[in-house]
Amino acid sequence: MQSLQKSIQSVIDSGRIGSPVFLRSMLQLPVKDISIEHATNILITLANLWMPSSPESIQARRSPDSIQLTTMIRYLGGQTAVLSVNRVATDQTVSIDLQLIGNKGTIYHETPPSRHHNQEFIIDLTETTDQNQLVQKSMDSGQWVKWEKV
Amino acid sequence: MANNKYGVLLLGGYRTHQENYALMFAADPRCQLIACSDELDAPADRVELNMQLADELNLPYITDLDQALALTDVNIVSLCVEMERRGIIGKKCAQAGKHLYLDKPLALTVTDAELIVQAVQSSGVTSQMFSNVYCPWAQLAKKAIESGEIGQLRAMHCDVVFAKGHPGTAPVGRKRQEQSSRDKYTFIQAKPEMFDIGVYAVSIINWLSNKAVKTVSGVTANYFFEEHSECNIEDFGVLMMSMEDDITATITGGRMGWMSHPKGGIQRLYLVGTQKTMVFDPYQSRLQICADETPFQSPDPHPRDPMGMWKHTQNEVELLPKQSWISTGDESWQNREFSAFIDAVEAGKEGEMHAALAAQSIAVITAGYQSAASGRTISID
Repeated sequence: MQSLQKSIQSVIDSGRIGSPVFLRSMLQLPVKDISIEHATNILITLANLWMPSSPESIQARRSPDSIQLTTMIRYLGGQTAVLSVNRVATDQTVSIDLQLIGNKGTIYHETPPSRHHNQEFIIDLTETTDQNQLVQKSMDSGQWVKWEKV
Repeated sequence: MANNKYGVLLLGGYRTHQENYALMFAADPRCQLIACSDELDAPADRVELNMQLADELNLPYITDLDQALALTDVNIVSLCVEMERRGIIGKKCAQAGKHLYLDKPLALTVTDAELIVQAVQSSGVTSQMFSNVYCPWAQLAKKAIESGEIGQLRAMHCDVVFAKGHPGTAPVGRKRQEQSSRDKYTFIQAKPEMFDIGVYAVSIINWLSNKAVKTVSGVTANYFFEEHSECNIEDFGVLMMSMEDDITATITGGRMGWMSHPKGGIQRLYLVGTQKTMVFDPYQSRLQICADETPFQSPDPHPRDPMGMWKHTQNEVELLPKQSWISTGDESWQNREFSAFIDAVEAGKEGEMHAALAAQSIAVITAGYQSAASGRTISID
């Protein structure tokens, strides 16, 4: 099975949606799995792979009980990404919905309901960037934080 | 009341949502359309468009709004004048004791919105702004919150993005520099979409949560259309909000092109709670049809309506139906929107999306523009 990021990258490379301009990504994460911060780093890494320019600044909001963490990223070329990780019950599977809007078309992806077990998605990143400090800095200040390469 | 029916005065004509609203009022057996009207000094081209709708509906056109408001058989004003004039005219109509059905967004500025809210409150009339609250998905979301099914609310994410217009003409990779305020909203070829479409998403967030928005961060962009770029208005916008009780909300509002969605565009709401996350989307219950038939194609742009905003202009272009997805849900929500307003008038109470609630959306979106212009998160008092 081809990984999600490579499938999407191939559509971007084909030019069918034009130049990516906005990404909305919603990851549902069972409590037992990886931390909400690490999952956010995965989404940020994916967004940065797909967007045609470098990140400029980031803003983050997390609920005090860490049920959800949402980040918004502005890119140097004016693109935007809104990335959310939500905790769900342990009996649920991990799922990801996303809309990658290009200036000429859109990619939609939804993890099918759990009865479609043959259609789980794979993300095979070899490494993710760690943006925990930037995310925390934005949550502390309530403001945009300038992107710094880690 | 005329013939025991609520008399409806129509303000605004062609190239406004009055094209749709007038038909919805006409379809309600409790209502009777009385006339079209506008201010004596309304722009001449606007008056011409108003008169064209009056002709189509076989209604008289009253050139002086004051005379129209003096008619005792007018009980309701359906208000679709340009955004720039909504505050003053809405106030005048409410002070004349007329119930107000208000086009969205409520007004151009917080000050204008407040004029309407105060007049509605002091005169005791019923008000309601057009919104998505009667869509089945919004009603289900309300139930999920009120029943406690999702637990305590932690986040809400709502996207409303229309699939209309011919994209790919805006300059690629150029950042938009937003203005902190705007004097002009109405252009022939385009509208500021974070305001005009984003208001659907913001008003749903306000209505569902019943919580105050404390801070707003906004980004606006020219991603798709040269028409918006030439008018120096955005075709897409994103807002991130902090609300009471540590609730986070995000919305997108915009327009992304005819071919970007199998139906009318993205319309989706996520509710994130301590018990579960729920998704609401009018297209999730659907039939998907694959058949040997002509697929949808972008229509030729109408020279006076390239974004496909108005019914009468879109009737003049060859617009194939989008029929690969057929919703299996109830699509009669617009009938409920209007019948609920008349129900509220009869009951002597406010509409679900009343002027004061609608005004909150204006405050949020205005703060969003200020944020986009300054690059700062803006606090709302």
